[in-house]
Amino acid sequence: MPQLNLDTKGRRPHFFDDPAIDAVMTAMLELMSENFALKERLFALEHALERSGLITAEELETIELPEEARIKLAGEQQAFFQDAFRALNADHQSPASRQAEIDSGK
Amino acid sequence: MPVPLKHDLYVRGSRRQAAQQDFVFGLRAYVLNDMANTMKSRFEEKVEPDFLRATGAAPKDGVDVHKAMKQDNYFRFYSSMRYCAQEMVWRSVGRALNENSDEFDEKLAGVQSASSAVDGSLELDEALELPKNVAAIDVHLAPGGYHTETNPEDCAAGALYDQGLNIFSFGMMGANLDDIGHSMANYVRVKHPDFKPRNVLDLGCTIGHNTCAWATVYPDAAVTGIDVAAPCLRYAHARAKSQGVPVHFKQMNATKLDYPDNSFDVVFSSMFLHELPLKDIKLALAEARRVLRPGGLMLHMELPPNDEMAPYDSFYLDWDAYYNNEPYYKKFRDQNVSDLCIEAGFSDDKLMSFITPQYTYMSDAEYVAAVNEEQTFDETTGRLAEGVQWFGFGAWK
Repeated sequence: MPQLNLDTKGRRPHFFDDPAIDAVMTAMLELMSENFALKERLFALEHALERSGLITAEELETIELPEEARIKLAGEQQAFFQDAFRALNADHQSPASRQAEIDSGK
Repeated sequence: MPVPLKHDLYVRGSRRQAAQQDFVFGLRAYVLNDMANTMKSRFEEKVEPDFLRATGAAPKDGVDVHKAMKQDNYFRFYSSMRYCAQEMVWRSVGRALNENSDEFDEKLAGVQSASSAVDGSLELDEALELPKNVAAIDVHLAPGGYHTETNPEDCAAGALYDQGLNIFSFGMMGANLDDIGHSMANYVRVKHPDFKPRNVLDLGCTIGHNTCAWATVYPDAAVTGIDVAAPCLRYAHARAKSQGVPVHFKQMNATKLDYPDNSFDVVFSSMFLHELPLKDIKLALAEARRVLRPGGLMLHMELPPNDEMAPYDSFYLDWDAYYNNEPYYKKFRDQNVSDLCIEAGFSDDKLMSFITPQYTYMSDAEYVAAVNEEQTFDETTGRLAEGVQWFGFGAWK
């Protein structure tokens, strides 16, 4: 399957007098989505850990991540910023971005 | 929480992707149930009285209500959240499909290569010109719309639509997303028991989810679904095969059907006409009549017309016209559907219109009892929320 484009064509509407509020709403909902996904994973993990007796709640508080895991987490953090703040610049298109669209025939 | 779709093309995605889809599913349910109810209360308690004081009259139609509500902060929050949720439907599903494209390809190949007892088919027309209402806009804010394809086997747009609809509908369109098709076909079965269609044509069928319902309700009928979007039709064919439902899919424009006169007993569509410019709606209705046999039935499941709805309910349903990339939606809802049918050549004594409860959420006996009670237009008609009822209209030839 070819990769799907995730961005909708056309101008985004704004509902508040200041479009910045709409952008913040988008960021907030992306944040809530990510927060929910994390919460769901934590529930699953804590349930599995408790069931297996591998780790206690106290140990979870003090565990340190290895470097490789830290780098992976940092990458996910940046991708999260891209998602959450994608609307902040939606009222502007750079000449380079427009040229790229023209070149691609959009 | 979204229920996994009941066919072999479903891609769940990672735990995180599934949780994000679950979030959007829940967000849509919250916005369209809880927030929608609160917003209506605010209208009745504050916005409408303020409008009355300022103008000396109550809002006369949905446009008046929209003007008044645009100043209300709760409407702004509702709209902003609903718009974002719509984007997030496609983003959450698209990301899961992109990151699991190999899994999808394997599943698709498995379905396509499997031997099957059912006799379905797929016929594409490479020369078909895409109409502007499909090609120029990302309908429903879905990136790439129904039609975008990058190779001759591409059915990604169909997968995106199917799995996106599963999140979008937050459980209100049936476990197989086919409640509309079942509700319409079963309405005809119950109300017209002597009518036994030999063949059925579904216009603008997209991924064939509602087309398949007709093949289930009328197993002796040959059922065909047409659409202009090849990626959806490829997907529809595999989806129907995976579910063991014999349906023929053809790439064709409903405004110019490639069938002789008097070819079908039923010409059906669901949530289709409101995406067309008015001139194309008129062409599609005239074409439907042309290909119907005498005694056949044209039936369209649609959004209820504005002239049947209270001003607030008209405003509420027209949200999509303003904010969901559905530019022809309001124009359709402003039409008198009886007049449209008559203009297409149907007799005014052969028209039908009805409201039906959802078939797949009750037993057959409960449904039969429910449709035999008179249903009237109200705020639940066509509104995707708890208690939704579907509207159908058409005519016998």
